Amino acid sequence: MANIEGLDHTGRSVPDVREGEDFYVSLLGAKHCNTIASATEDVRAGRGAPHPCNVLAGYLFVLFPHAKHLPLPDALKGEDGSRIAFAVSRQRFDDVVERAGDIGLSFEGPVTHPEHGPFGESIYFTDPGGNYMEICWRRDSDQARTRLAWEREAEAATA
Amino acid sequence: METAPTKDAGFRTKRQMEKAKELPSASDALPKYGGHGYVPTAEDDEEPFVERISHLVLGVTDVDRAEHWYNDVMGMDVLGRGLMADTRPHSVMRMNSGCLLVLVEGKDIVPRRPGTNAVHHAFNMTPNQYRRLQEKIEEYKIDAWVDRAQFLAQGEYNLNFRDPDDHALEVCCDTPEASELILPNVGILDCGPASQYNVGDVKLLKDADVYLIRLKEGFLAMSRWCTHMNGRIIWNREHWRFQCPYHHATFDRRGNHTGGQPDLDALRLYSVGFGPDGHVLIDTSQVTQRACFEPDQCVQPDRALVGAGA
Repeated sequence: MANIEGLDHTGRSVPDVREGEDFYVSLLGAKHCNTIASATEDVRAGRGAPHPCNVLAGYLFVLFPHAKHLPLPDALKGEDGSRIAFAVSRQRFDDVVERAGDIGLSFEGPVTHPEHGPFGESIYFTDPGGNYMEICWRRDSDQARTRLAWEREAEAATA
Repeated sequence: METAPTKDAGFRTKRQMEKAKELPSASDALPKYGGHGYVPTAEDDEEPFVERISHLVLGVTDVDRAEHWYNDVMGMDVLGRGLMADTRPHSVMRMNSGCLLVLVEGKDIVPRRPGTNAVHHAFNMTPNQYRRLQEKIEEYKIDAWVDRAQFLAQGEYNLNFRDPDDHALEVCCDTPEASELILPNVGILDCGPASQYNVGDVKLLKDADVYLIRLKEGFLAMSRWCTHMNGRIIWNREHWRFQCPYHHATFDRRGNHTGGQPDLDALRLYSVGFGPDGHVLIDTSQVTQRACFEPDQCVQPDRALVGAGA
Protein backbone atom coordinates (compact mmCIF):
# COMPACT_ATOMS: atom_id res chain seq x y z
CA MET A 1 0.00 0.00 0.00
CA ALA A 2 1.47 3.30 -1.07
CA ASN A 3 1.24 6.50 0.94
CA ILE A 4 -0.31 8.45 -1.89
CA GLU A 5 -3.64 8.00 -3.66
CA GLY A 6 -3.07 9.13 -7.23
CA LEU A 7 -2.73 11.83 -9.85
CA ASP A 8 -5.04 14.78 -9.37
CA HIS A 9 -4.56 17.40 -12.08
CA THR A 10 -1.97 19.02 -14.27
CA GLY A 11 -1.13 22.48 -15.53
CA ARG A 12 -0.41 22.83 -19.24
CA SER A 13 0.90 25.84 -21.12
CA VAL A 14 -0.43 26.68 -24.60
CA PRO A 15 0.04 29.76 -26.82
CA ASP A 16 -3.72 30.32 -27.15
CA VAL A 17 -5.98 29.00 -24.39
CA ARG A 18 -9.04 29.00 -26.67
CA GLU A 19 -7.22 26.91 -29.25
CA GLY A 20 -5.91 24.69 -26.47
CA GLU A 21 -9.37 24.24 -25.00
CA ASP A 22 -10.78 23.44 -28.43
CA PHE A 23 -8.19 20.69 -28.80
CA TYR A 24 -9.11 19.08 -25.49
CA VAL A 25 -12.87 19.57 -25.78
CA SER A 26 -13.59 19.14 -29.48
CA LEU A 27 -10.89 16.68 -30.43
CA LEU A 28 -10.41 14.58 -27.30
CA GLY A 29 -13.90 14.96 -25.83
CA ALA A 30 -12.96 16.78 -22.63
CA LYS A 31 -15.58 18.81 -20.77
CA HIS A 32 -15.16 22.43 -19.85
CA CYS A 33 -15.17 22.69 -16.06
CA ASN A 34 -14.74 26.38 -15.38
CA THR A 35 -12.51 29.34 -16.05
CA ILE A 36 -10.51 30.40 -13.05
CA ALA A 37 -10.03 34.10 -12.92
CA SER A 38 -9.09 34.86 -9.35
CA ALA A 39 -8.11 31.69 -7.56
CA THR A 40 -4.45 32.25 -6.99
CA GLU A 41 -2.46 34.93 -5.28
CA ASP A 42 -0.32 35.05 -8.42
CA VAL A 43 -3.32 36.20 -10.43
CA ARG A 44 -4.21 38.81 -7.82
CA ALA A 45 -0.64 40.06 -7.93
CA GLY A 46 -0.69 40.35 -11.71
CA ARG A 47 1.52 37.34 -12.30
CA GLY A 48 -1.11 35.18 -13.89
CA ALA A 49 -4.18 35.25 -16.09
CA PRO A 50 -7.66 33.68 -16.22
CA HIS A 51 -7.30 30.10 -17.33
CA PRO A 52 -9.82 27.44 -18.39
CA CYS A 53 -10.05 24.03 -16.75
CA ASN A 54 -11.12 20.98 -18.74
CA VAL A 55 -11.85 17.50 -17.51
CA LEU A 56 -10.75 14.55 -19.60
CA ALA A 57 -11.53 11.06 -18.31
CA GLY A 58 -11.96 12.48 -14.81
CA TYR A 59 -8.58 14.22 -14.91
CA LEU A 60 -8.37 17.98 -14.72
CA PHE A 61 -6.32 19.95 -17.24
CA VAL A 62 -5.67 23.56 -16.31
CA LEU A 63 -4.56 25.57 -19.33
CA PHE A 64 -2.40 28.65 -19.00
CA PRO A 65 -1.29 30.99 -21.77
CA HIS A 66 2.39 31.04 -22.68
CA ALA A 67 4.16 34.00 -21.15
CA LYS A 68 6.22 34.24 -24.34
CA HIS A 69 6.64 32.39 -27.60
CA LEU A 70 7.75 28.80 -27.14
CA PRO A 71 8.78 26.77 -30.17
CA LEU A 72 6.96 23.48 -30.72
CA PRO A 73 9.07 20.36 -30.10
CA ASP A 74 10.54 18.42 -33.02
CA ALA A 75 9.26 15.04 -31.79
CA LEU A 76 5.83 13.86 -30.69
CA LYS A 77 7.27 11.67 -27.95
CA GLY A 78 9.37 13.20 -25.21
CA GLU A 79 10.79 12.25 -21.85
CA ASP A 80 13.04 15.22 -21.28
CA GLY A 81 10.25 17.06 -19.49
CA SER A 82 6.93 15.49 -18.65
CA ARG A 83 4.20 13.51 -20.37
CA ILE A 84 0.64 12.71 -19.37
CA ALA A 85 -0.77 9.32 -20.40
CA PHE A 86 -4.37 8.16 -20.62
CA ALA A 87 -5.52 4.58 -20.83
CA VAL A 88 -8.18 2.79 -22.82
CA SER A 89 -9.08 -0.89 -22.78
CA ARG A 90 -7.11 -3.30 -24.94
CA GLN A 91 -10.27 -3.89 -26.96
CA ARG A 92 -10.66 -0.18 -27.74
CA PHE A 93 -7.03 0.70 -28.38
CA ASP A 94 -7.05 -0.15 -32.11
CA ASP A 95 -10.26 1.84 -32.55
CA VAL A 96 -8.73 4.84 -30.80
CA VAL A 97 -5.64 4.67 -33.02
CA GLU A 98 -7.89 4.60 -36.09
CA ARG A 99 -10.03 7.41 -34.71
CA ALA A 100 -6.93 9.50 -33.99
CA GLY A 101 -6.02 9.21 -37.66
CA ASP A 102 -9.57 10.06 -38.74
CA ILE A 103 -9.63 13.29 -36.77
CA GLY A 104 -6.25 14.38 -38.07
CA LEU A 105 -4.24 13.88 -34.90
CA SER A 106 -0.55 13.47 -35.74
CA PHE A 107 0.88 10.72 -33.59
CA GLU A 108 3.85 8.40 -33.22
CA GLY A 109 3.41 4.67 -32.67
CA PRO A 110 1.87 2.36 -31.73
CA VAL A 111 4.85 1.22 -29.69
CA THR A 112 4.72 -2.18 -27.99
CA HIS A 113 6.03 -2.37 -24.41
CA PRO A 114 7.73 -5.35 -22.71
CA GLU A 115 5.30 -8.10 -21.72
CA HIS A 116 6.60 -8.17 -18.12
CA GLY A 117 5.57 -4.55 -17.57
CA PRO A 118 2.21 -2.87 -16.88
CA PHE A 119 1.98 -1.20 -20.31
CA GLY A 120 0.68 -2.80 -23.51
CA GLU A 121 0.96 -0.40 -26.44
CA SER A 122 1.16 3.38 -26.69
CA ILE A 123 0.75 6.18 -29.16
CA TYR A 124 2.30 9.61 -28.60
CA PHE A 125 1.23 13.08 -29.66
CA THR A 126 1.37 16.70 -28.53
CA ASP A 127 -1.27 19.30 -27.77
CA PRO A 128 -1.21 22.71 -29.52
CA GLY A 129 1.27 23.97 -26.93
CA GLY A 130 3.71 21.15 -27.62
CA ASN A 131 2.91 19.33 -24.37
CA TYR A 132 3.59 15.62 -24.68
CA MET A 133 0.68 13.21 -24.33
CA GLU A 134 0.20 9.48 -24.66
CA ILE A 135 -2.64 6.98 -24.97
CA CYS A 136 -2.00 3.39 -23.99
CA TRP A 137 -3.65 0.20 -22.89
CA ARG A 138 -2.51 -1.38 -19.67
CA ARG A 139 -1.76 -5.05 -19.08
CA ASP A 140 -2.62 -4.53 -15.42
CA SER A 141 -5.98 -2.87 -16.11
CA ASP A 142 -7.67 -5.36 -13.75
CA GLN A 143 -5.73 -3.72 -10.90
CA ALA A 144 -6.49 -0.16 -11.92
CA ARG A 145 -8.71 1.66 -9.48
CA THR A 146 -10.27 5.06 -9.47
CA ARG A 147 -9.17 7.98 -7.34
CA LEU A 148 -11.99 9.47 -5.36
CA ALA A 149 -14.19 8.18 -2.57
CA TRP A 150 -17.48 8.37 -4.46
CA GLU A 151 -15.97 6.64 -7.51
CA ARG A 152 -14.76 3.72 -5.41
CA GLU A 153 -18.13 3.44 -3.69
CA ALA A 154 -19.81 3.37 -7.10
CA GLU A 155 -17.38 0.70 -8.31
CA ALA A 156 -17.95 -1.42 -5.22
CA ALA A 157 -21.72 -1.15 -5.65
CA THR A 158 -21.57 -2.42 -9.23
CA ALA A 159 -18.91 -5.08 -8.61
CA MET B 1 19.13 14.88 0.43
CA GLU B 2 17.92 18.46 0.49
CA THR B 3 15.97 20.33 -2.12
CA ALA B 4 17.43 23.79 -2.71
CA PRO B 5 15.12 26.79 -2.42
CA THR B 6 13.63 27.59 -5.80
CA LYS B 7 14.75 30.62 -7.75
CA ASP B 8 11.43 32.47 -7.55
CA ALA B 9 11.15 32.16 -3.76
CA GLY B 10 10.98 35.93 -3.50
CA PHE B 11 7.47 35.93 -4.96
CA ARG B 12 6.02 34.10 -2.00
CA THR B 13 4.13 35.80 0.76
CA LYS B 14 4.45 35.01 4.44
CA ARG B 15 0.92 33.61 4.32
CA GLN B 16 1.90 31.20 1.52
CA MET B 17 4.83 29.93 3.59
CA GLU B 18 2.91 29.68 6.88
CA LYS B 19 -0.04 27.93 5.26
CA ALA B 20 2.31 25.17 4.09
CA LYS B 21 2.92 24.16 7.72
CA GLU B 22 -0.75 23.59 8.61
CA LEU B 23 -1.70 20.00 9.35
CA PRO B 24 -5.08 18.36 8.73
CA SER B 25 -6.70 16.29 11.47
CA ALA B 26 -5.64 12.64 11.37
CA SER B 27 -7.91 10.65 9.08
CA ASP B 28 -7.77 7.95 6.42
CA ALA B 29 -10.75 9.43 4.57
CA LEU B 30 -10.34 9.14 0.81
CA PRO B 31 -10.46 12.35 -1.26
CA LYS B 32 -13.98 13.49 -2.04
CA TYR B 33 -13.07 16.22 -4.46
CA GLY B 34 -10.91 16.38 -7.57
CA GLY B 35 -8.43 19.08 -8.43
CA HIS B 36 -9.08 22.44 -6.75
CA GLY B 37 -12.47 21.38 -5.47
CA TYR B 38 -13.79 20.02 -8.75
CA VAL B 39 -16.42 17.33 -8.25
CA PRO B 40 -16.27 14.93 -11.18
CA THR B 41 -19.44 13.18 -12.21
CA ALA B 42 -20.01 9.94 -14.04
CA GLU B 43 -19.23 10.33 -17.74
CA ASP B 44 -22.32 10.42 -19.91
CA ASP B 45 -20.29 9.85 -23.07
CA GLU B 46 -20.74 6.17 -23.88
CA GLU B 47 -17.52 5.97 -25.84
CA PRO B 48 -15.04 8.55 -24.58
CA PHE B 49 -11.83 9.03 -26.54
CA VAL B 50 -9.87 7.99 -23.47
CA GLU B 51 -11.12 6.23 -20.36
CA ARG B 52 -8.85 7.01 -17.45
CA ILE B 53 -5.62 8.64 -16.43
CA SER B 54 -2.84 6.07 -16.63
CA HIS B 55 0.51 7.57 -15.77
CA LEU B 56 2.79 10.55 -15.66
CA VAL B 57 6.28 10.45 -17.19
CA LEU B 58 8.95 12.71 -15.73
CA GLY B 59 12.47 13.20 -17.03
CA VAL B 60 15.10 12.98 -14.29
CA THR B 61 18.88 13.34 -14.24
CA ASP B 62 19.49 10.46 -11.80
CA VAL B 63 16.91 7.69 -11.73
CA ASP B 64 18.29 6.19 -8.50
CA ARG B 65 17.98 9.50 -6.68
CA ALA B 66 14.55 10.24 -8.12
CA GLU B 67 13.22 6.76 -7.33
CA HIS B 68 14.37 7.05 -3.74
CA TRP B 69 12.83 10.53 -3.41
CA TYR B 70 9.44 9.58 -4.86
CA ASN B 71 9.38 6.46 -2.72
CA ASP B 72 10.44 8.03 0.56
CA VAL B 73 8.98 11.54 0.29
CA MET B 74 5.94 11.06 -1.95
CA GLY B 75 5.11 7.60 -0.63
CA MET B 76 4.96 5.77 -3.96
CA ASP B 77 5.62 2.04 -4.28
CA VAL B 78 8.42 0.94 -6.58
CA LEU B 79 6.99 -1.36 -9.25
CA GLY B 80 10.26 -2.01 -11.07
CA ARG B 81 12.83 -1.00 -13.64
CA GLY B 82 12.84 -1.42 -17.41
CA LEU B 83 9.10 -2.03 -17.71
CA MET B 84 8.54 0.36 -20.63
CA ALA B 85 9.67 0.36 -24.26
CA ASP B 86 12.50 2.78 -23.65
CA THR B 87 16.17 1.89 -23.69
CA ARG B 88 17.07 4.59 -21.18
CA PRO B 89 17.14 3.73 -17.47
CA HIS B 90 13.66 4.18 -16.03
CA SER B 91 11.69 3.29 -12.94
CA VAL B 92 7.94 2.70 -12.69
CA MET B 93 6.21 3.66 -9.44
CA ARG B 94 2.68 2.97 -8.32
CA MET B 95 0.03 4.85 -6.36
CA ASN B 96 -3.01 3.39 -4.61
CA SER B 97 -5.42 4.36 -7.39
CA GLY B 98 -3.39 2.37 -9.92
CA CYS B 99 -1.93 5.54 -11.43
CA LEU B 100 1.75 5.14 -12.25
CA LEU B 101 4.72 7.47 -12.31
CA VAL B 102 7.54 6.71 -14.76
CA LEU B 103 10.92 8.31 -14.09
CA VAL B 104 13.12 8.31 -17.20
CA GLU B 105 16.80 9.20 -16.90
CA GLY B 106 18.18 11.70 -19.38
CA LYS B 107 20.91 14.31 -19.68
CA ASP B 108 19.03 17.39 -20.76
CA ILE B 109 15.99 17.55 -18.54
CA VAL B 110 13.53 20.42 -18.96
CA PRO B 111 11.44 20.21 -15.80
CA ARG B 112 9.40 23.30 -16.54
CA ARG B 113 9.17 24.79 -19.98
CA PRO B 114 11.15 28.02 -20.34
CA GLY B 115 8.96 31.08 -20.17
CA THR B 116 6.13 29.59 -18.16
CA ASN B 117 5.56 28.46 -14.60
CA ALA B 118 2.27 26.87 -15.60
CA VAL B 119 3.38 23.27 -16.03
CA HIS B 120 2.86 21.44 -12.77
CA HIS B 121 1.67 18.03 -11.64
CA ALA B 122 -0.73 17.50 -8.76
CA PHE B 123 -1.37 14.41 -6.67
CA ASN B 124 -4.00 13.66 -4.08
CA MET B 125 -3.54 12.25 -0.59
CA THR B 126 -5.63 11.29 2.39
CA PRO B 127 -5.15 13.46 5.51
CA ASN B 128 -2.83 10.88 7.09
CA GLN B 129 -0.77 10.59 3.93
CA TYR B 130 -0.56 14.40 3.84
CA ARG B 131 0.60 14.48 7.47
CA ARG B 132 3.31 11.94 6.63
CA LEU B 133 4.38 14.08 3.67
CA GLN B 134 4.68 17.09 5.98
CA GLU B 135 7.11 15.12 8.14
CA LYS B 136 9.18 14.24 5.09
CA ILE B 137 9.21 17.86 3.93
CA GLU B 138 10.57 18.80 7.33
CA GLU B 139 13.09 15.94 7.31
CA TYR B 140 14.36 16.75 3.79
CA LYS B 141 14.18 20.51 4.39
CA ILE B 142 12.12 20.95 1.23
CA ASP B 143 11.10 24.48 0.30
CA ALA B 144 7.29 24.29 0.38
CA TRP B 145 4.55 26.90 0.04
CA VAL B 146 0.88 27.19 -0.91
CA ASP B 147 0.06 28.99 -4.14
CA ARG B 148 -3.62 29.24 -3.22
CA ALA B 149 -3.09 30.12 0.44
CA GLN B 150 -5.82 32.75 0.40
CA PHE B 151 -8.30 30.57 -1.45
CA LEU B 152 -8.59 27.33 0.49
CA ALA B 153 -11.92 26.29 1.95
CA GLN B 154 -12.29 24.79 5.43
CA GLY B 155 -10.69 21.34 5.44
CA GLU B 156 -8.89 21.90 2.13
CA TYR B 157 -5.11 21.57 2.08
CA ASN B 158 -2.60 22.25 -0.69
CA LEU B 159 1.17 22.12 -0.89
CA ASN B 160 3.48 23.30 -3.64
CA PHE B 161 7.11 22.28 -3.92
CA ARG B 162 9.69 20.98 -6.38
CA ASP B 163 11.30 17.59 -6.75
CA PRO B 164 15.12 17.22 -6.90
CA ASP B 165 14.99 17.80 -10.69
CA ASP B 166 12.91 20.99 -10.25
CA HIS B 167 9.64 19.54 -11.52
CA ALA B 168 6.80 21.62 -10.07
CA LEU B 169 4.61 19.43 -7.84
CA GLU B 170 1.41 20.03 -5.91
CA VAL B 171 -0.38 17.85 -3.39
CA CYS B 172 -4.12 18.23 -2.76
CA CYS B 173 -5.93 16.92 0.30
CA ASP B 174 -9.50 17.39 1.40
CA THR B 175 -10.58 16.33 4.87
CA PRO B 176 -14.07 15.48 6.13
CA GLU B 177 -14.28 19.06 7.48
CA ALA B 178 -14.48 20.25 3.88
CA SER B 179 -17.97 18.84 3.43
CA GLU B 180 -19.49 18.42 6.88
CA LEU B 181 -22.32 20.67 8.06
CA ILE B 182 -21.10 23.63 10.07
CA LEU B 183 -23.51 25.03 12.66
CA PRO B 184 -22.77 28.40 14.26
CA ASN B 185 -24.87 27.31 17.23
CA VAL B 186 -25.04 30.76 18.77
CA GLY B 187 -28.65 30.33 19.82
CA ILE B 188 -31.35 32.76 18.73
CA LEU B 189 -30.09 35.78 16.77
CA ASP B 190 -32.07 39.01 17.20
CA CYS B 191 -31.78 40.90 13.91
CA GLY B 192 -33.82 43.94 14.92
CA PRO B 193 -37.23 45.13 13.73
CA ALA B 194 -38.58 43.45 10.60
CA SER B 195 -39.83 46.84 9.49
CA GLN B 196 -36.27 48.07 8.96
CA TYR B 197 -35.70 45.63 6.09
CA ASN B 198 -36.74 46.50 2.55
CA VAL B 199 -37.39 43.97 -0.19
CA GLY B 200 -34.00 43.17 -1.75
CA ASP B 201 -31.97 43.75 1.41
CA VAL B 202 -29.17 41.30 2.20
CA LYS B 203 -27.57 41.48 5.64
CA LEU B 204 -24.54 39.50 6.76
CA LEU B 205 -24.50 38.36 10.39
CA LYS B 206 -20.77 37.83 10.39
CA ASP B 207 -20.28 36.19 13.77
CA ALA B 208 -22.81 33.49 12.92
CA ASP B 209 -21.97 33.15 9.20
CA VAL B 210 -25.61 33.74 8.33
CA TYR B 211 -27.18 35.93 5.63
CA LEU B 212 -30.64 37.41 6.29
CA ILE B 213 -32.45 38.21 3.04
CA ARG B 214 -35.71 40.10 2.62
CA LEU B 215 -37.56 38.95 -0.50
CA LYS B 216 -41.02 39.92 -1.69
CA GLU B 217 -42.15 36.48 -0.46
CA GLY B 218 -40.75 37.13 3.04
CA PHE B 219 -37.54 36.54 4.99
CA LEU B 220 -34.89 33.85 4.40
CA ALA B 221 -31.94 33.11 6.68
CA MET B 222 -29.25 31.30 4.71
CA SER B 223 -26.01 29.67 5.78
CA ARG B 224 -22.90 31.41 4.55
CA TRP B 225 -21.18 28.08 3.95
CA CYS B 226 -21.08 27.05 0.29
CA THR B 227 -22.84 23.76 -0.52
CA HIS B 228 -19.94 22.69 -2.74
CA MET B 229 -17.12 22.76 -0.18
CA ASN B 230 -17.04 24.64 3.07
CA GLY B 231 -15.96 28.06 1.84
CA ARG B 232 -17.58 31.27 3.07
CA ILE B 233 -19.59 32.84 0.28
CA ILE B 234 -19.76 36.60 -0.19
CA TRP B 235 -22.64 38.81 -1.37
CA ASN B 236 -21.78 40.52 -4.63
CA ARG B 237 -24.16 43.46 -4.52
CA GLU B 238 -23.31 44.74 -7.99
CA HIS B 239 -24.25 41.41 -9.58
CA TRP B 240 -27.11 40.52 -7.19
CA ARG B 241 -25.63 37.17 -6.40
CA PHE B 242 -23.65 35.26 -3.83
CA GLN B 243 -20.34 33.87 -4.91
CA CYS B 244 -17.71 31.62 -3.42
CA PRO B 245 -14.23 33.10 -3.85
CA TYR B 246 -12.64 29.67 -3.39
CA HIS B 247 -14.13 27.57 -6.19
CA HIS B 248 -16.39 30.06 -8.01
CA ALA B 249 -19.85 28.67 -7.23
CA THR B 250 -22.55 31.33 -7.52
CA PHE B 251 -26.06 31.54 -6.01
CA ASP B 252 -28.95 33.95 -6.47
CA ARG B 253 -30.72 35.82 -3.66
CA ARG B 254 -33.04 32.89 -3.05
CA GLY B 255 -30.01 30.66 -2.61
CA ASN B 256 -30.43 28.76 -5.87
CA HIS B 257 -27.19 27.59 -7.46
CA THR B 258 -26.53 29.52 -10.67
CA GLY B 259 -23.06 28.49 -11.88
CA GLY B 260 -19.35 28.05 -11.31
CA GLN B 261 -19.61 24.40 -10.27
CA PRO B 262 -21.90 21.68 -11.60
CA ASP B 263 -25.16 20.68 -9.90
CA LEU B 264 -25.05 22.12 -6.40
CA ASP B 265 -27.85 22.25 -3.85
CA ALA B 266 -29.26 25.62 -2.86
CA LEU B 267 -27.75 27.41 0.16
CA ARG B 268 -28.90 25.92 3.47
CA LEU B 269 -31.55 27.55 5.64
CA TYR B 270 -32.02 28.48 9.28
CA SER B 271 -35.42 28.94 10.92
CA VAL B 272 -36.77 32.49 10.90
CA GLY B 273 -39.49 33.82 13.19
CA PHE B 274 -40.58 37.03 14.83
CA GLY B 275 -40.68 38.14 18.44
CA PRO B 276 -43.60 39.91 20.12
CA ASP B 277 -41.79 43.20 19.53
CA GLY B 278 -41.65 42.57 15.77
CA HIS B 279 -37.96 41.68 15.73
CA VAL B 280 -36.62 39.12 13.23
CA LEU B 281 -35.28 36.07 15.09
CA ILE B 282 -33.03 33.37 13.60
CA ASP B 283 -32.60 29.99 15.29
CA THR B 284 -29.02 28.83 14.57
CA SER B 285 -29.32 25.49 16.34
CA GLN B 286 -30.53 23.61 13.26
CA VAL B 287 -29.83 23.97 9.56
CA THR B 288 -32.06 22.70 6.75
CA GLN B 289 -30.65 21.36 3.50
CA ARG B 290 -32.68 21.91 0.33
CA ALA B 291 -32.31 21.23 -3.37
CA CYS B 292 -33.76 24.57 -4.50
CA PHE B 293 -35.85 27.54 -3.41
CA GLU B 294 -39.56 27.11 -2.74
CA PRO B 295 -41.75 30.12 -1.87
CA ASP B 296 -42.98 28.49 1.34
CA GLN B 297 -39.41 28.56 2.68
CA CYS B 298 -39.87 32.31 3.17
CA VAL B 299 -41.36 33.58 6.40
CA GLN B 300 -43.68 36.61 6.62
CA PRO B 301 -43.53 38.94 9.64
CA ASP B 302 -46.82 37.67 11.08
CA ARG B 303 -45.44 34.21 11.83
CA ALA B 304 -43.88 33.06 15.07
CA LEU B 305 -40.50 31.29 15.11
CA VAL B 306 -40.99 28.07 13.10
CA GLY B 307 -38.77 25.69 11.15
CA ALA B 308 -37.85 27.24 7.82
CA GLY B 309 -38.05 23.94 6.03
CA ALA B 310 -41.35 22.93 7.61
